[in-house]
Amino acid sequence: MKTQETRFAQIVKTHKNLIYTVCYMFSNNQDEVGELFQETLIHLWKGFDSFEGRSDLKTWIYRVCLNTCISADRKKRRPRPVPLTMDVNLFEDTDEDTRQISLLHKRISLLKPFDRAIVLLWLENMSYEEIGAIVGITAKNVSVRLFRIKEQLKRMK
Amino acid sequence: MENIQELEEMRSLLSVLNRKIEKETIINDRLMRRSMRTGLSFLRQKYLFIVVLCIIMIPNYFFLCRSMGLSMVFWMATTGLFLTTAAYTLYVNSYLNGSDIMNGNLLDVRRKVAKSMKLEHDWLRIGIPMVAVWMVWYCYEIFSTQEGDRAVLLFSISVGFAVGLCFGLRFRRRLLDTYRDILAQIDEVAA
Repeated sequence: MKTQETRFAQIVKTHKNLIYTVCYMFSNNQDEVGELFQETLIHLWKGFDSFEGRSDLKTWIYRVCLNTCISADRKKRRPRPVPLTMDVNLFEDTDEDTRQISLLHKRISLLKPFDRAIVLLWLENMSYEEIGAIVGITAKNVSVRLFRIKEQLKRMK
Repeated sequence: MENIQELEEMRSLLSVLNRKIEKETIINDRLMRRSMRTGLSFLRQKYLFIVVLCIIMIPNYFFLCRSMGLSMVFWMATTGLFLTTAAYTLYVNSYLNGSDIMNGNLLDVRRKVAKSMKLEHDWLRIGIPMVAVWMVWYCYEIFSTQEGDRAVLLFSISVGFAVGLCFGLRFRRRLLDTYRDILAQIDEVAA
């Protein structure tokens, strides 16, 4: 059990950026990022036993993370989450990088959750096949969706 | 956003984000431990509560029936009602199995939650007639075994029923609100 916990902790630490990025893109403030992050970890831990390497580790983490962020019940009263260990606040800092990142966040937030998921995966350089495997649609559908998303983003300018 | 026109530019911004958070610790031991210990979700807790309540009520009702002199057939029917409720609740809950539900792809998860919501709705079609029959039978049992002013008996039953109904409706409303929130997301996904 101890080994499993250690292995899980190691995997989470290796993929913390991925989890944080998805949670950030589906949140409106730093507290919400923390809540989604913690909920994602809970779901990852619950599914860790049954995962057993059936799919690529990164694919599995993306699945769980996106499922959690899209399905999160935001009205639910949760116990106060453990704060993330971060020196930066991407919602409040005012440096140039954060300003640029918040523009990206703002733009992605305007998309519907499903499209947000697709565009995030595409931005992570995933192939249409990989994206399709994560969200449950065909590669052809991913390409059609992405075309529409691009059009939508152009209209948002 | 004025300077960003294409997804490719967004990709470079995502790299900036990754570089920025790469330097951060983000995860601490307390967060990790808490996550590994956390139990059931809100919906699953509610369902578990219903199942436990049904099971506890069976022996309690046995003693109540005996002390009030109600028939054993009525107790058996009441037990059947509790068991049906518990079994149906477990069935609905099976679609929300925490260890599996989040492992599938997005559309699968949505299908499972939607199915669970539908089953929850369907329960009223079975539950209301069952409770209605049970109530009539209960009144009959009370009136035929208890002595005293019928108006007082009827008033007591009505008050008990009203209180139970209020709690039940409040409980159900919260449950359905939770489903609605999740389904609002599902509708967006399916759009």
